Amino acid sequence: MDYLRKLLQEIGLEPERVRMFNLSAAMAGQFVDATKEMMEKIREVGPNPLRAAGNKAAGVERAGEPARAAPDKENS
Amino acid sequence: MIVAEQKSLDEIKRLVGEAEKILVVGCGTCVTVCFAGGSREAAIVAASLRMASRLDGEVKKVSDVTVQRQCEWEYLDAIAKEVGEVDVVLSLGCGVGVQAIAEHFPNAWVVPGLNTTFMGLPTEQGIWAERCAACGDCVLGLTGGVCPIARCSKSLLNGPCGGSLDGHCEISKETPCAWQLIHDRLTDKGKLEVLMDIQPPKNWKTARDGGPRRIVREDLMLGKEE
Repeated sequence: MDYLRKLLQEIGLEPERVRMFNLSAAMAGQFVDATKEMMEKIREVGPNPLRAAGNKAAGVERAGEPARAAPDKENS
Repeated sequence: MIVAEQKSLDEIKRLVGEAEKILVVGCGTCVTVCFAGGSREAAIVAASLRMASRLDGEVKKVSDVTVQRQCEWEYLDAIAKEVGEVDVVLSLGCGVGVQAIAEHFPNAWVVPGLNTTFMGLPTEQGIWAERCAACGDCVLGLTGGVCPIARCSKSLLNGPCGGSLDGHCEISKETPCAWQLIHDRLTDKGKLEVLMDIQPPKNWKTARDGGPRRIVREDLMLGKEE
């Protein structure tokens, strides 16, 4: 995980975009807390700049795209 | 094995420069085992370059391929087509691999993605240590299998210097004194008397000091029928 975070930083992305939580199947409460924590963090750092860069390269503008933690597809 | 470390992504980006088509070439031998330049690392470096270039507003096409050994022509022949299609080849092989690609593909521009560091072995998970300096005149038979050339900071041949303290070298507590290791091993084997032979100054002509080295084995050469 340290390696991955370092790699993200070198690439130019925020290392806090990835984190590992150790949870068992019986830790539903902690799972919810961890998910909320990550959602807050991702909202804080903003949308994935790679997506914006990719859209720009493809000539697609998505002005004011809301920050979100999960990809477009639900239940994916 | 040859042990290497990956260069930083910043340095790799500088090395590939303005190139738009990049081929990252991994090597399936030594640098795979030391987690520096195998197929997994080649794919990671290629993906990192793709993402970094997108963030920099550039469009780079980065692909990766891994050959079994970058240091032999026959394995490089397999990637001739891919090499011919790119602006720059980023080799994740050791220095030998980089030069083999440059020599085998004269039209290709090749840059190194690794710093080739030493010949050594993993002493534990995640730690590699130097063991051989390729001096060309092996003395391990005199030292119980512990190399004073590679493992003594001063490459001493007749015992430790004054910097040996509690089994450590004066350069670092992480570095065991090679002569302490030699003494301990010969004591253990009951062969301490080996050390009574004073070693004359070493002939460094067989090492790098004699210039680039070459081995010729006529018995293995092709086209010389008797």
